[in-house]
Amino acid sequence: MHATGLRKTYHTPAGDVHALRSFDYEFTPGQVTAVLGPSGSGKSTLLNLLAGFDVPSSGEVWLGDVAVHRLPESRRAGLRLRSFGFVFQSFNLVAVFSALQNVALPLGLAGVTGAERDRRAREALERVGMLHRADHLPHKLSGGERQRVALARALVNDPAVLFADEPTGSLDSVNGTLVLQALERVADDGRIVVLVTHDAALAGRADVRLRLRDGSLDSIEHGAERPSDARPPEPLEQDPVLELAGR
Amino acid sequence: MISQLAFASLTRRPLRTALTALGIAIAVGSTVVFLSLGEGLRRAFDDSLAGLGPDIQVSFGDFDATSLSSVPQLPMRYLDELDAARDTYGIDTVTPVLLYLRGSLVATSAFVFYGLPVETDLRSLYRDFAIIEGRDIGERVPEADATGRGVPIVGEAVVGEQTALRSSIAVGDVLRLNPNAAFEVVGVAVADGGILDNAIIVPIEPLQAALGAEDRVSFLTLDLRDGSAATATAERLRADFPELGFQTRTDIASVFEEAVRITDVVRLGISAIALIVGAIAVANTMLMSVFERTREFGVVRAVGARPRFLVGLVLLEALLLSLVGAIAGVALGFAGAAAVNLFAVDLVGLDVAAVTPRLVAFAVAVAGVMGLLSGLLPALRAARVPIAVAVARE
Repeated sequence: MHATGLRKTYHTPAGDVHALRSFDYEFTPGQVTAVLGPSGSGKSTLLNLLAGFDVPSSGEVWLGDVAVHRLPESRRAGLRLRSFGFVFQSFNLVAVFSALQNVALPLGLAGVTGAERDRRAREALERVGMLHRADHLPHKLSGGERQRVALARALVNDPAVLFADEPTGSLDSVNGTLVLQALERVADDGRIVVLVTHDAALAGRADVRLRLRDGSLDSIEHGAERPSDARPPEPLEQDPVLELAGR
Repeated sequence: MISQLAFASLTRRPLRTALTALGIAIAVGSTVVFLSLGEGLRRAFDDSLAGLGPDIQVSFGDFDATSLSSVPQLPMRYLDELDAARDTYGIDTVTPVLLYLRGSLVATSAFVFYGLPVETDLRSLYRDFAIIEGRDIGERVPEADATGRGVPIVGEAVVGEQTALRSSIAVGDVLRLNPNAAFEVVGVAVADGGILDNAIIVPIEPLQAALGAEDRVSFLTLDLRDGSAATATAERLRADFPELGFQTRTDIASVFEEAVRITDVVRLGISAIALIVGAIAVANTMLMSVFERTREFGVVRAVGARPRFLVGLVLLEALLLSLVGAIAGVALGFAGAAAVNLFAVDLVGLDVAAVTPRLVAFAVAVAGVMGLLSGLLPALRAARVPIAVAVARE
């Protein structure tokens, strides 16, 4: 996936707001790419454009040979469904759906029905260690559990790119570490992981760090600072979230 | 998946869903009650028509909805002419009928006098006709006696059961038609909810004399030897007697249907107000729901739903809400129609309200269309939710 000359300008009554002035970058599969920057630097705008939530004012976004920026909304929806996965800071689970139904939602939208949908959703939940909470509604789950369900939902359709917007922002350090490790294993699986954060420590573990400033790409840093022991601290060592790499 | 989400969303706020469904139920219920009045009249007329023996009814000029209440216009000579031509047209019997409505602002003082030749076998005209008290009318010499309180009793009368109950008429009573004529009640009859249940049957000749219409009747009824030839025979008669109107049962039904349809439009117009209020309730609920679920809709679209999925979702919710309301509304309609009939039978002797299958189907269909229309704007709004804004919303 690569972006070229990406710009986004919002036209408001108070005048034009240049949320993203210039962005060029090619994302590498198998890497966690962190997008860093202070508030208002254009991080979220960049994610929205890359993920097809919004269209750029100018510039291009390509996923393989698909021109994401040119796609009509219906085809962008298809791309989000089959090629992209999303993890949000506030989990964004459907409140009236159980954990299982939330994970089954993308499968249902993709036309997977009946027992097959149920089986695959349960498998995804099992990988994040949430099968035992499959029938619980989101408000019955802890923050860490919700994020793991969200992760299962993001990965259930086997996407090529996983977008994570402040995925540990609402979690304690233990759960944050677990989710981060899960993202790393997702990248190790050959996917692109785009991690938007303003947490320098979190970004430090990414393979690549893109720093945005005033809507432009300010710097690119390579080299992960992952701890040599990627296993989570006790007593969560055996948490099934780590089994994501086994897909 | 879409139905699961729609159902879960509706049950998330059960009180609001229930109240909105109740609003629809009241709207649909009132519509059912209003429209059931027309259906009841149709059913009562159909019952009467089914029991009506004559194959063809002859009127002076075209028969229309006012013919039944107008003064007699058909000259008696046509009775003789048609009687003489019985073999030509395959007519079995020709019967003159004089219908006189003595109206009143008070329903219990309004009477329908039905003048027939005394020798007429009413069971041949009205299949379900039966004397339940006293006897049938017979010849009687006019006399002025004390029970008429100075008004000469010119004949005998058989009173329909509903009229007898409503106006407390019993065998032996004397009914004064006008200052010149009274009839003595000699029997009470039933005719299974038909017109005769609400009529007073009297000999035609004294009724003609009392009304000053010795040479005219309201209409003639023709019994054919072959009832299935009614339509063809009526065609021949129309050609030979262009000044007269010849109606088969189907023709009469269509005239009545036209009159009832006019009232249908009026009642539907009144019902429309209730339906519009119900539609606004659904639209309001769905708009509130869409507003509250902006983030949810954004998430659903973020994970790959197309805008039309959300349009379908909101329309489905509106439709489900309306159909639940419609089912409850039909139940309310049944109860309302039953309540109306309790009063109507006492007042006019007829079950004026009837909830028929086609009325139920109509009410459910109207509720469905109402749900879809009222859900359209919220649905389109849901589909236009910007994903980036929605998922970031707290």
